[in-house]
Amino acid sequence: MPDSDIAIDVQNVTRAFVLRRRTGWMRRERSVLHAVSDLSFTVRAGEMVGYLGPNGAGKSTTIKMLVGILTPSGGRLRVAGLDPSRQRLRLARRIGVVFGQRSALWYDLPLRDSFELVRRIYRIPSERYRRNLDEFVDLLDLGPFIDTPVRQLSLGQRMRGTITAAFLPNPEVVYLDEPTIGLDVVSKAAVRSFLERTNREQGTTILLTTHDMGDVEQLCRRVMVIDHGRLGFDGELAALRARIGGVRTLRVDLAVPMPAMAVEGAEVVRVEGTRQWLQFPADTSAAPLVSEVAARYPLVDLTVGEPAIEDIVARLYTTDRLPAPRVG
Amino acid sequence: MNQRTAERTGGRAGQRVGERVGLLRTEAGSYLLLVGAAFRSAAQYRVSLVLYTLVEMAGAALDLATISIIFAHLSDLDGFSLAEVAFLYGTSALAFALAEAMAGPLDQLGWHIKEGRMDAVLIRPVSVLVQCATMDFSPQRLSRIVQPVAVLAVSVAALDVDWTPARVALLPAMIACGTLISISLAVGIAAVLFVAPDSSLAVSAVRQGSALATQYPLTVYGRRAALLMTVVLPIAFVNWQPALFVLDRPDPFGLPAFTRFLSLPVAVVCAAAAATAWRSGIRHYRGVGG
Repeated sequence: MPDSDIAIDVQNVTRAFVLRRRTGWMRRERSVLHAVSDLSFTVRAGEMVGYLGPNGAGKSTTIKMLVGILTPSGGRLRVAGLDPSRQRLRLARRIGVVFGQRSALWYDLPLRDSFELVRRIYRIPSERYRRNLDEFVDLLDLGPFIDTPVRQLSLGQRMRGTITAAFLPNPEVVYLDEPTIGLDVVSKAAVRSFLERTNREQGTTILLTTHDMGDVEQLCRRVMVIDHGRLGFDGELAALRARIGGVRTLRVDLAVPMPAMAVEGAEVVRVEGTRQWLQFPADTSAAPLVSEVAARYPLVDLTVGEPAIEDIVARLYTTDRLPAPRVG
Repeated sequence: MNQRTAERTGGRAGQRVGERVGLLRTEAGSYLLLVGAAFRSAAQYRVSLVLYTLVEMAGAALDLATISIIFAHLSDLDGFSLAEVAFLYGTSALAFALAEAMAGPLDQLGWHIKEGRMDAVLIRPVSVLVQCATMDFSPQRLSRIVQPVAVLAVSVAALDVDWTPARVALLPAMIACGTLISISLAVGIAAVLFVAPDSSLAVSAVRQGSALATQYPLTVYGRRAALLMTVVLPIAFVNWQPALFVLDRPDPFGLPAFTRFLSLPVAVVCAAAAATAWRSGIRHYRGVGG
């Protein structure tokens, strides 16, 4: 039964949260939110998978269950052959986690001291520790700031330090939640090539959540898209693209907030205040679209771009024959 | 046949005890490691370290002043001499100061939960208790031990008791048990914060209230309150009960003589209860069956 080739095994996993809202004096309204419902997927050892979805889609809940922080309300879950919620401490020695901006480093100590603490906590043999540290310092260019207290580091430097700490114990599986968010170009490139190389050379299984299409394109052959707690797509990035169709996005800033525009040859996929996103077929020119928008609406600014992850997800859920996402 | 079964189960039990002891040693090692890190972190802010230490010292001096003011107006407190009250104060204050140094940071747990820092704690292969107790470990808390030690030393010198080997042995034992009871109290009530992260204030009030309560002879509170502190919230065993033996006094409330020596079993029971409460707190946080 234990298949050593499978790193992450998720079968029909559900996680419900009970929300209580005050509706009056001593009166509470109780509602159940299914952050994740009937989720199933497997990740083979050595894969690098992009886990995509808008905010609140259930990505963090999934990762928290995979780590053992949250206990599933139903279903079966195994990571490296262990049940995360029952064997959290044992599993903790074999996995690495990078939680976005929340650093696991010691804020007031030099970066090097944090690594040393990681070495002692994870009981990394000193020879392997030195070899890993030398390599990571080189790959992530930590040299100039390794003796600086963490609180004085820039966002990008801190993220590079956090990633180093997560990978030092040679974990079998690593979860990264938004590892490149807010990073400068140099840090972003360093992080990406580090992940790519570690995955290739060490065979580390990596599950990556991100809002950055660049991360996905450069790192992940396979992507999973989750929205409203359900898996909407699981396959190769190219297949996702094909499924959505070649589209481009026109981002329009208007002078005043308006309901979704009605423009021929394009479709509004998102509205946020004065900003609207229109999608149009990639093989048509943007020029007539732009002039029509400019003629009929109070246009302030616009940009044409490749679809962002939110747009891909929105499109996936509007064009698909998937059951309508629901909460409840 | 039976004998072999007995041996086998004995061996398995031994192995389990061995595992437990090994685990405890690992956690103790992690505790010292993380305390060391906290010390080095605090050393980054020398001025604030010095200021905090001064404030702590001033607070301790005020405590002492309170007791001296009481004695300036009374020759004794409910029949307890100044030296005896100082002994009660010193033993209680030392046990609670040691507990405060080790488990005091647990008050911050509610705050860590609300700030979302617990997730980072739960992903490390170190027990949540050890991590929470060291996250805000502040070295200046150790300075709180100085004053109780001084008071205790003075009172022991001034006490008019026959220092038999039993009394001499009971003194460190009662401090150790008292410390364990106060730590258990701190852990047990901090576990509430997993369920109600907003009640940090209530939690530290209960803890500091019990530290305050045991600084005086329990007789000053009257029979009902004293029994409550013996049976329900067993802080009477932090110092009061064993101290009655050291001071060679009968129990003013007429409890039998063997209760003087119950501190160790009470401490063990408290520790077990606290561990259970703590674990169920973590389970609640992780939403087991929630």
